[in-house]
Amino acid sequence: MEFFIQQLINGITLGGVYALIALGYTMVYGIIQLINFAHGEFFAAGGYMGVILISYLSAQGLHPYACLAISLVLAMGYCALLAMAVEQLAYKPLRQASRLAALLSALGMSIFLQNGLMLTQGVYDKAYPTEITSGGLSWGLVSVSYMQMFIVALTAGLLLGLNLLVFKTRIGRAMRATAQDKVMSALVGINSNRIIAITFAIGAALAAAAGIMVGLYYGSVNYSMGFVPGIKAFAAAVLGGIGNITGALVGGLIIGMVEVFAAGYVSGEYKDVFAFVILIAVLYFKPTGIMGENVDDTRV
Amino acid sequence: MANLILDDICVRFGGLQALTDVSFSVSEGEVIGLIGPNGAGKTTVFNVITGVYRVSSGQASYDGATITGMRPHQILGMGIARTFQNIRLFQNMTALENCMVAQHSRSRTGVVGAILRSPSQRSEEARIQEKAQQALDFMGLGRKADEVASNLPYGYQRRLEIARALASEPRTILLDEPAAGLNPAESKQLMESIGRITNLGINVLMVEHDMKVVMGICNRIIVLDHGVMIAEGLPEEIQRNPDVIEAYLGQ
Repeated sequence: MEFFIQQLINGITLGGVYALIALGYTMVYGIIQLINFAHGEFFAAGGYMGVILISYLSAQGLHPYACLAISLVLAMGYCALLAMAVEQLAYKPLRQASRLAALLSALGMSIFLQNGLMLTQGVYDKAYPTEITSGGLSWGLVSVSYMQMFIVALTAGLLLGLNLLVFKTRIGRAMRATAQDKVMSALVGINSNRIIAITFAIGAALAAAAGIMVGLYYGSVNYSMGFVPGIKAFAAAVLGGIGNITGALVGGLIIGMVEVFAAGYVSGEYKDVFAFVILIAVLYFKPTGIMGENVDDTRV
Repeated sequence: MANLILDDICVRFGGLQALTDVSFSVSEGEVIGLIGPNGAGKTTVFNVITGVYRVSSGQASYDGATITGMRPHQILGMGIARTFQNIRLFQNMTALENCMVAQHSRSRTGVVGAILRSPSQRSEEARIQEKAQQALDFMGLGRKADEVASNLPYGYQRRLEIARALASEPRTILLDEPAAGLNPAESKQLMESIGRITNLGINVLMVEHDMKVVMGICNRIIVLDHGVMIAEGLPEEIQRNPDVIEAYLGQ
């Protein structure tokens, strides 16, 4: 029983991280029907920006939590700008082209960004400073690290903020309107190019936060770290129903749980297989996902 | 003073000449009817004015500024709003939200302000909601504010389209067949609404097939046939014009 609860806690932590990445896929798909295969690279870039900033700031003698907070905000901002630049360079010129062209451009961007990270940061893992991730609470055999609590709390906070942004603000309304009908939203005064850029920025900022959390959780980052979690988050977005915000959250949690339980009860080596089995099964049996593709008002 | 001026507008799609040398103007406080047989180019005129189509030649201006070449959201920002022949509401949003979206160009708060929920963001949000509610009330939809657009009956959806256009605080409104599919009672109500819109000082350019509506409220009528203006004048002149009668009834 203790083992089950422990895995549940680990599953929520991991699922939250997948959900944060999945949101970027789903929001971008909702607004321009593009699977942004470069999205995982924003996650990696966030992880790297995090380690660089945290190391620098803690060397300046700042309080660990202050380091973390500042690094988080700056890394999110950096990835938001990076995503807007990528959108401007690689996707905007192809807005009228076939979907396949944009998809290939996304794959190219992914390779470009990943190699850029390798060339500038090296091929070896970069270690996160561990002192801020230590400590935790335990009940018998169940233990929750402060880092896990931090990850879950931050994920919940970001999701809540995103929800408010999308449903209670003029930017969110413009995003929903643009997702539904680009021509009409332009005719009621919305600059769709700007809204698309903002959507990319928000998605990338969430991925950057996820990148830092993963770096802290596992203790290191690697230039290719965006690939596998990126694909898994994509599986989560498809599972929840691509284009659907709530779906991304649900899908992320399910993929996280399945992976952790598979690792715990079946075999650690097969954990990646399960996420992809789910992806294939969803595409085969219910391609619109759990929450359905673009059917309700949570589409962005 | 004329505030919307079209000057020798031509639009070609490949080999098809959709509009040829269309020139007219809409002055402050006017209600202008744009009529003609199907395929005459009426909706194309709207698409040119609102920046959806590019002109092949010619120029449109509004309040002295050239609007040909501007993007649709900029033209709306200038004060020209429109409705569609086949209703194009944001189906999943409530009636109120549909109108709130139209306040986009009249409001400022960006992402950062929205995330921080600054006091100015909150007061702006309240103002947006108030304006949207006013637009709904104006079109008699005040009680339907929280209904999802797709659940509204057809006649209400038509009114909501107009309410949304009004919510953008336009000075000119383009109505594309606002009476299409309405029963006689609803058309009468529509004519009343259009009358009240002009009382607000908003000029109206309207494409409409229902001659009772057109002749009843338009100050001036422009007739298009095969992309060419064949007549322009007062309603009674148009009714007697032999070219117009021929275009509608054939030889």
